[in-house]
Amino acid sequence: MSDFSYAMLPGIEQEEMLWLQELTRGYSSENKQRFLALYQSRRKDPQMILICCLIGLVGAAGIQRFMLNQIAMGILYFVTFGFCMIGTIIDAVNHRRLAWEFNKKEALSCAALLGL
Amino acid sequence: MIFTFLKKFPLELLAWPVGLTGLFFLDPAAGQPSLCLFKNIGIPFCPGCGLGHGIHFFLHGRWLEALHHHWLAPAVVLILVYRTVQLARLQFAELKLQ
Repeated sequence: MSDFSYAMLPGIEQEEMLWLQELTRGYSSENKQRFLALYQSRRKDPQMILICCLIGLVGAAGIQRFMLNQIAMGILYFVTFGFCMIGTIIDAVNHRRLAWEFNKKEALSCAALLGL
Repeated sequence: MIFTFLKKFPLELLAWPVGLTGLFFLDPAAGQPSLCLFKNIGIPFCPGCGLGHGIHFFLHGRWLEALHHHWLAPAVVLILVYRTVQLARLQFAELKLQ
């Protein structure tokens, strides 16, 4: 387990990597590995969010919101065609921030779950 | 530099309040322009039709008319306000860290 293990996560950015390194700074190597395994399974790839946004332009809108556990927003997007496509376009531009907002929460809950 | 600025820009946090205030001031009875992209490119129907009017009436306190225009209007306003508050809190926490 090296400091660069986080770089293999798909679509990871500098900011996220630094944040994760800071979060896991005091962990033992074994704990880091357990954290990474758990986080990897829960993390959402920003590219996946973007693809789901773009599906919203031609088909069912709001899949990205369901993926990010925002059920109410997902239903609104679905019923209104992503607020007449404006919402879908905003989400497509904003997909990295949406994914990062979700992933940050997941990282903290992973750390809490492992009792670290 | 402009790209780093755009990347940090809280787009969603601006979009919902701007949309809601826009709908507050656009009076549907006065024939003011519509925010709807579909309507502006000429597609006549979408399941969200009437939602803008509904939100306008709901924000002006005319509940029954709002429900009549679109039954989801109150839910939309509440969920958008909730989401805005949630985003604002996240943004505030981020600002405090810096």
